[in-house]
Amino acid sequence: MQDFDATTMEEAQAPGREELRERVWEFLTWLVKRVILFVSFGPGILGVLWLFGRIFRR
Amino acid sequence: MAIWTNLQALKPLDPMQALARRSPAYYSRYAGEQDEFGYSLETFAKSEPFFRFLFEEYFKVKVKGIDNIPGDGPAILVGNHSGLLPLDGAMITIAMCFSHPSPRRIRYLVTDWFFTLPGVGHWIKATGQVRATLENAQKLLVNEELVGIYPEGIRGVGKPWAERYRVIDFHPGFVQLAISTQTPLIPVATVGGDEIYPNFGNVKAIAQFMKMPFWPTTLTFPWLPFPAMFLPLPVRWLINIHKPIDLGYPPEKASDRKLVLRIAREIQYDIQRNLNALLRERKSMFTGWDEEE
Repeated sequence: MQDFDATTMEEAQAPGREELRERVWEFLTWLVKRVILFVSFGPGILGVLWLFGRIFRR
Repeated sequence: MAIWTNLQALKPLDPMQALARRSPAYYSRYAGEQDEFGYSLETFAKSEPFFRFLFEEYFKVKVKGIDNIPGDGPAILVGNHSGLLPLDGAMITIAMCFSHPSPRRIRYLVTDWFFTLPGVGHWIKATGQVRATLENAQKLLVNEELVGIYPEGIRGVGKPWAERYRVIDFHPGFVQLAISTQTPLIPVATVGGDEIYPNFGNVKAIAQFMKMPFWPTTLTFPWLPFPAMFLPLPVRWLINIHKPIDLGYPPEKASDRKLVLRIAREIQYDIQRNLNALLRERKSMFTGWDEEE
């Protein structure tokens, strides 16, 4: 039996990273939802394609 | 000066005054009333011109058997649901307001999900709809209101094009309510609603991700820009209101599951048969039925 603390520096920081990862994931999900809502109920998919066409053909 | 006076004549009428002029009986029935569920005559008066335009000019809705709905007292309207945006309820409401000899409002029981939509929840309440709970339904019937129920629920609204006019199994709660409160049931068959937004596919992954009951793909949604995506097809509608059914069972029978389910199925098949007959008689979805019918 080893009775010393085997926790590394990296593992000690893990909960913070996990929280950050969760926050980033939540933010991305929120952003994707907003984009889907905006495109679907705003310009529509054809409207967005038309806009991209106008931009890229310049 | 004269020009200014003429321009003032073009000013739109106050919605309440306009409603009082178009349907005086409806206006005098509900003016100044405080409703515990949040009905506002003013909001109804502001919204009804749009739905009346759809009713009279766009869908050219025909209503048969409007006299079967009593002018007073409690009753439950039960119908087939359709149309992605549930306009079927709005069309019957307009018919009741402007074509009935004793106009009255319909209190539709609406699923919780609609109340979560930003800006929509308040408007739904203010135009007469009520959150679908047993307590609310019982309260409405005690208040002698006309309650509207679509027992297919939200599944009926999101029906794909291939399953149009195929009535999904009715939730039997409305029969239980009718027996326990001794209220007559009035079946309503609506033709037209299933075709206004042809739903070619439900993208379940997006619906799940967006926490929505369905994510339809129609001819216009999500392709065209706002508001073109909401433009319905100009389909001719027919609403057939059946004679009231007095179930005649004592209130204790409301807990008899077999009986309740059997009656719910009978009413569902009755509406389905009526829909099939009306569809057979129809010439086409855009021209509707012959004038003499």
